[in-house]
Amino acid sequence: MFFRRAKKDQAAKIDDAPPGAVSAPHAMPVLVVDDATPELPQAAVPPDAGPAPAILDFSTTDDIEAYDGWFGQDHAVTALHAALELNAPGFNICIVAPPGLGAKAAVRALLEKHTAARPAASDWAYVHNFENTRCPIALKLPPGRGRALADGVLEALCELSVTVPAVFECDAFKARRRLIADGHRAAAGTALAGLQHKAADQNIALLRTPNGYGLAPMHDGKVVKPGVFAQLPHAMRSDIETRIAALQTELANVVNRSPQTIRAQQAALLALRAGHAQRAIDAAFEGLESGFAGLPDVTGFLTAAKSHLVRNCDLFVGGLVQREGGEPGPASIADDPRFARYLVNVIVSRSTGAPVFELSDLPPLEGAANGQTLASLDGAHMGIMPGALHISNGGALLIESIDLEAAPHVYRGLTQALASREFRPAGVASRPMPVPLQVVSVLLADEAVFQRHCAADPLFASMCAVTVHCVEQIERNADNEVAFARWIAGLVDRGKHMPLTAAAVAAIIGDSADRAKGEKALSLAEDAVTKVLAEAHVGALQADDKVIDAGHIRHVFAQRASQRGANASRSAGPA
Amino acid sequence: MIAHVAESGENSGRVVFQLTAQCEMAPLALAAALRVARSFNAGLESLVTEDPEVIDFARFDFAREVSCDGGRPQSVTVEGFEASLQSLAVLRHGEIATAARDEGVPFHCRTLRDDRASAIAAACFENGPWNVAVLAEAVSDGTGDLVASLFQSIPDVTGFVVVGPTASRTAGPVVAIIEQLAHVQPMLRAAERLASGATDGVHLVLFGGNADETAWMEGQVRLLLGDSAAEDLILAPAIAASAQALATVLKDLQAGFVIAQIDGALLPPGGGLADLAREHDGPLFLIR
Repeated sequence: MFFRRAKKDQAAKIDDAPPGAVSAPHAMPVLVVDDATPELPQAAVPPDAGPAPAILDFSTTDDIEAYDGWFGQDHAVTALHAALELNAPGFNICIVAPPGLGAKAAVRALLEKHTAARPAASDWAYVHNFENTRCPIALKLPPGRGRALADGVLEALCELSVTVPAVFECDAFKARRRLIADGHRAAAGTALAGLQHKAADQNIALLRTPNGYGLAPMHDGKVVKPGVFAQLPHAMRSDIETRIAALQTELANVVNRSPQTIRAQQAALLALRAGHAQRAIDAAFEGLESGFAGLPDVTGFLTAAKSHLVRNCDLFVGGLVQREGGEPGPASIADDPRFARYLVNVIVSRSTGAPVFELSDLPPLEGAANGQTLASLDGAHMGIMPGALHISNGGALLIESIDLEAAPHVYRGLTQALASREFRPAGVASRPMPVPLQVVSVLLADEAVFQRHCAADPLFASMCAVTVHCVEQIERNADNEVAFARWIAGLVDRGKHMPLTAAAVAAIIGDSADRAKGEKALSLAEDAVTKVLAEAHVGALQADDKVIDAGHIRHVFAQRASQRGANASRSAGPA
Repeated sequence: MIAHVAESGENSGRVVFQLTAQCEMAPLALAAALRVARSFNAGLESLVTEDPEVIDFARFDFAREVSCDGGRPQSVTVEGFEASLQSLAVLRHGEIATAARDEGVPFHCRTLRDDRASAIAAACFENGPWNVAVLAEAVSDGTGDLVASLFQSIPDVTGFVVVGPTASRTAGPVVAIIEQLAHVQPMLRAAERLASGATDGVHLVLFGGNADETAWMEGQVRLLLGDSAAEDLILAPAIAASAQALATVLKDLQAGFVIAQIDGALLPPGGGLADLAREHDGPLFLIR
């Protein structure tokens, strides 16, 4: 550390949480770093008492090394680094910081710096569950491969919309279909022809009647006239009728087999279509399957999708349903609801780095944390919208406690997910498969909100494996004044302001000392310093100066004092 | 041979579409009949024949009908059969009339209680001198012999059109299979009429029995056709005298309508026609 704290450093206290902080229910030790500065005696330093000129030994802030870290919060930075390095599931951090310390920007910068060096987080996609349609499957994919899978599936479907109809039109398929049809027709015809021959051998004719078949006595290939038949001897007539009755029974058996024959033919034709479609489908998905060969969940989905497509190959025959104004042909596959179940909904896809995401970047809706399922029918996975946990999974999630207070439903979903280390999108009709959660969550809270959360929900404290209380001020001494000057130089760089003279820096340091609680201390309120710098920069610009000197700073202070006086008069009212 | 081929401006003659009220119509038969009628500017006559033997059958006391949709044999009556056949005939005529109207083909219909040969003969005799009869039922093993006998008993018929059970298209080049030089011109004219309006053209397949005969035929055909030979006429190589070999040639040519001689070397009596009809996708125009 290049500065000393205003009070002696306290060692990290294990299980020495402040009132309201409850130990985590899991095995993870709770580390509470409490550097809150105790009340110091009121400062005796006059408002303009800057450091001695010998201490600030530079012409302008351009001459000194700027400090771009989180000034004065080394313990918080150390704890944050430790948590990030540990990268253990559920090792979430709570940073208790009063407003104005620049905690959010500083923490975000730290998180981004840390996660940039880490390997890219996985892609996540939702696909249809062919075994349980109500439970879409969450697929974990290597970074950047999610989009490749989704595009590959769509391309395969587009290809099939051309190849499957072509397969059913090819000569080989038609020849096989004809063989089946001929075979069954021949089988049915053969049975009938056999009966016809058998009947003819007994001089009995098989006739096609209006609704079926009939058997009549025959002579020389012609049906015997009824009048002639009536004149035949009784024994002969009786014999013929007996034989006709027997043949009728056989005929009924042959004819009654027709439905079975039709069913068998239909089954054979379906098997033929499936076989030919299978070859086209295998060819369309071949490249995709080999590309994702090492990912059993992905190949499992592709196998299930292929199998379903084979059974439903007629989807590709007869044209696609097109959205009004949509382009004709395969391009409209993605718009055709019948194909939704085969498509891949890529929720998160990135090729570099681990993500840092702020919960407040999403509107505080039902699915802000866990995501949401908007569709409820078959293919509901395509309606799943990503939540903050989807986006930050594998990286870090920055949460401001004030956002949680404003949205209890988000708080509920988030705390449950962080506690169970898995999450699933909210939905009414479908219940998507949970996604394992591996995220470092950093909660920013001021003391009052932190205490309220701890008191209201024991789960909240359990989420915070590390709680860091930020310091508001540091001891004022020569080393810290130099460090303060470097911090100001850093803020000047960040704000792209004009450089400050040493006297101007001294004036700001004097103001910080004035704002500190107690003697010989410097306030770390970044917002206050940043505002002074911005206003002084404008003043210098208006005066056409190239540097910000002590005069510009004092002018800002004077304006503020004047403003405060005017405000006080207004609040006091007319005499 | 083709006795008479109507000139392009000649509207006489009919295509007689023969069926029984209770028969199973081949899917392509009606389309083939309409194509012939359109090509030759002829009318279409729907000729439904009621088999007198079926009515005779209904007169037997012991007559029972086994229905196609299963069930036990049912007793029948003449009145019931006549009513059923009439209803079926009306339905068939209506179905054919609708198709003819859609194609712009003049339509006539009649129902006769007579055997098939007599009914077709009567229709052809009335309409002459040019008639083509189209058999609605798909070719079966006995159709070749039936057509041969019909040619013998019906002098006024120009030719018969038949289709196989799985025939599915009339599109494709019209192919005339020539076994006799005398058939070249009338068959070519018929083929050209059938092909008119289509872009698939006409092919001639020459069959001389052996290579020398076929080569001689090719020379004669080229001399005969002279300058009038259209560019799209193709002289196919000689083929073996079998229905399967012929079917292979037709498949290679992607033939639609095929004009062939019945009872010749390629379609001999006793089953050659059934074999070819099973293999060929389109209609067969048979001449004597």
